[in-house]
Amino acid sequence: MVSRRTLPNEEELIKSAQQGSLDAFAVLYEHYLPLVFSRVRYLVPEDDLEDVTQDVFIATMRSLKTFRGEAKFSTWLRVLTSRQIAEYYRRRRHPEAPLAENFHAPSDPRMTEEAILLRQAFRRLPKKYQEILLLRFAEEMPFLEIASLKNCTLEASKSLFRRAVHALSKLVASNE
Amino acid sequence: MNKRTELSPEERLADFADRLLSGTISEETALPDVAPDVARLQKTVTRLAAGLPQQGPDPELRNRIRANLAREWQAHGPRPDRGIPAWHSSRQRTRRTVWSTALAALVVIVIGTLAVPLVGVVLPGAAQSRSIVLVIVTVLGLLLGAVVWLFHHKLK
Repeated sequence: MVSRRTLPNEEELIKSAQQGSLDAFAVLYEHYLPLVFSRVRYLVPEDDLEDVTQDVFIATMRSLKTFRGEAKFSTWLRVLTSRQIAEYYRRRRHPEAPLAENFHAPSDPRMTEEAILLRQAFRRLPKKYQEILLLRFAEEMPFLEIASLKNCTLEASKSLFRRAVHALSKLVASNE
Repeated sequence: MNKRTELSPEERLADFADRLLSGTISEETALPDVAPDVARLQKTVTRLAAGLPQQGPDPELRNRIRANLAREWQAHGPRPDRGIPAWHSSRQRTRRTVWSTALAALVVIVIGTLAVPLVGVVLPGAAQSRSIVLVIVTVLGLLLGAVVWLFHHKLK
């Protein structure tokens, strides 16, 4: 389960990390790794999952000084994660890789094929649909919290969720 | 009437996802007898919940990334602000503001003093007004420059 709670001394940790404390950054890393990892997993093949996750934290480290605390650290991290995933696909010669892209030897071939199919469809979703599905599935964030984060009503968040699932359903069907 | 059937389609799908993710219903029993379009969306939710591995990062991966980050930190990690404490930079800023204001005031006074005899001398009409305009423009320019400079340093 992804921990979404803000660290009690997060502000101090960020300030210490900004002043060069690796220990402070390590605490932030340990806390937010599951969040970043689970989001990357929905969009990036297993083979590159570790590299992209690491790239997110390197990017975080390098731009840490620019974090001013206007948004939550987790929100900032989500933005950096999306940027790194986009960067990953920019670097790839063939962004729409075929189903036979390199994956770890599958323990269950059907599941791997399903994962590839879902990831490919997921990536083709508009960003706002990707985001709500990531919040609900990858981060397991309840709808009420999503509504609060997105500054919208509970009904609006559920409506967006339904539209996102509908769009994904169509994309998956077109890929099958 | 069943409470769930009274829900809007959005709420029903959200409720379905909630129950699936919380484990209240399993993937096998997750498709109740509902209209085909609702069932199709529920199936997509089920596939999304089950189709990708859910386990978090394993300890080896966690440690590998952490070790790489530590190396990266030495080369590209943030550096302290040259050890200048916050109170010092704040005091320095205040001192700079006082000095720049004093300097601007001095410049205004000097130009004003120089301009007085010029204004006092009886010059032909056009030349006199030109001198006054020149002095006013210079003073305003200096004031504007001082304000811009102050704002620039305040934002830093």
